[in-house]
Amino acid sequence: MQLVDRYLQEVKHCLPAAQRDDILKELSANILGEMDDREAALGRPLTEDEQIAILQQQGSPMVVASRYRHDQRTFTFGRVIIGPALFPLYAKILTLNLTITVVVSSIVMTALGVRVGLTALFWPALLQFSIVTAIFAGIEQSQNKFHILDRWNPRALPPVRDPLKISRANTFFEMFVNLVFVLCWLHVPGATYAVAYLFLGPAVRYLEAASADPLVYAPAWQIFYLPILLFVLLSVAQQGLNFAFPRWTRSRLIARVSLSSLGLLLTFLLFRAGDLFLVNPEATHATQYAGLAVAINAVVHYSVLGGALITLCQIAWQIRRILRLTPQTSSVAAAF
Amino acid sequence: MIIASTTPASLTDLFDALRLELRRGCLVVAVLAQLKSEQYGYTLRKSLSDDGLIIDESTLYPLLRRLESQGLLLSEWREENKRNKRFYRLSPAGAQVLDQLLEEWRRINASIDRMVEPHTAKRSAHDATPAPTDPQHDLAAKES
Repeated sequence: MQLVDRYLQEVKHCLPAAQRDDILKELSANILGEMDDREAALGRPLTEDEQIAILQQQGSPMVVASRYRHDQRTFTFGRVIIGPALFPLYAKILTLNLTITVVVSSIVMTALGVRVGLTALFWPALLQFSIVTAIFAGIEQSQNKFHILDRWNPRALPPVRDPLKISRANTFFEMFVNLVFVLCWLHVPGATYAVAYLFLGPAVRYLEAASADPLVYAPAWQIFYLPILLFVLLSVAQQGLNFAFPRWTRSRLIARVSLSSLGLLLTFLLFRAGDLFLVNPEATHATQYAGLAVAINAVVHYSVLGGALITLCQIAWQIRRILRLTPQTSSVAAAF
Repeated sequence: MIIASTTPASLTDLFDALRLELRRGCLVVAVLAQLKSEQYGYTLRKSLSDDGLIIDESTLYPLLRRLESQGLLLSEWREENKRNKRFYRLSPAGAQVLDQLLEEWRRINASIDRMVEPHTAKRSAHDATPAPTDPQHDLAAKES
């Protein structure tokens, strides 16, 4: 019943979190009960086409999930612009967009020395709101005219995701980035130049031509140098293990939480260390670089804060996974 | 005076919308009536369909949960044919509400019948040729 699992997986994404498991269990029982009944009537197992017909009869995953929500909220301006089926996805994407817009705008404004206030954030937020609303209003109109949500194909449903499977592509990418970082951190000849070239292109030659770097590392880095190196090397080791055996186990998840907690501690200490870059007194026109140092320190400060928040979310997510991971948990059951 | 242009397509849409409104309340009565005996989602849909009331799964299953949260239904998870299923049945409060709803439905039905039937009778009398030979009708005519 792979098709049913794939269908339920799609319904799950749009269901209210509090009742998700219960609704999926009941929906699954009803669909499988209907399939059993058809099989008993036909005296043979159902073909894929027959299973698809039953799933299509249930309705598209998004519409089915929307019927289980009590709120049935809509975006109305004279008439319904975004209906109850699309509204939860609209609200989710709009919230995400507005959060990213506010955070990124605040960081950029702080770095540029612009005062962060409601007036300054209003226009970028309004632009995001307009774009997202226009896109969803267009989809709603298409749904009203052409019933696009009803024309869904169960064969095109994504395969059932195994929540315990580790993506090898992601692991490889993380490992690659960390190894490049290690090479730069150890000042391996050519590594820093290659990375700088990747970001700046031919403009990197101007940095080389400068008599002295305009900024230097603050003394605090001497304390952090070895712990950061050790932390990244441990991360690479775990990623190597994940690449070889791409499946989460309880012990590996616990190791991951420990490593993430170490990362959180480091970011906390970095956050408290104050300015991490200082103007190089030997640089020509050193006084001109004071503003640059302030801007870079502000960016690093907020990046460290952002990194800490992301790490905190990752730890919470990993702990949730550990708690859900009982010895009997099968992959599909864990997914639902 | 409002003049509305009604194309066959818009009339169909209008009928669908009105039919939906009409059915919405009736479905609740039908579901409550059918759940005097315990059933799970799929068998309930099937029994409603067998009695001539076809209802989408995506309408029925959430409706059952809503009625349960309103205290009109009771539910219980139980294994049947090696599968765990959620069985619903009418709660005492549901039974009371069902009686009231049925009474209301009968009252509305009788009112509408009274409004519609004389009109239907007049039209069928006008359309019918030759006129019906009802002994009682003839008698009444003579008496008048």
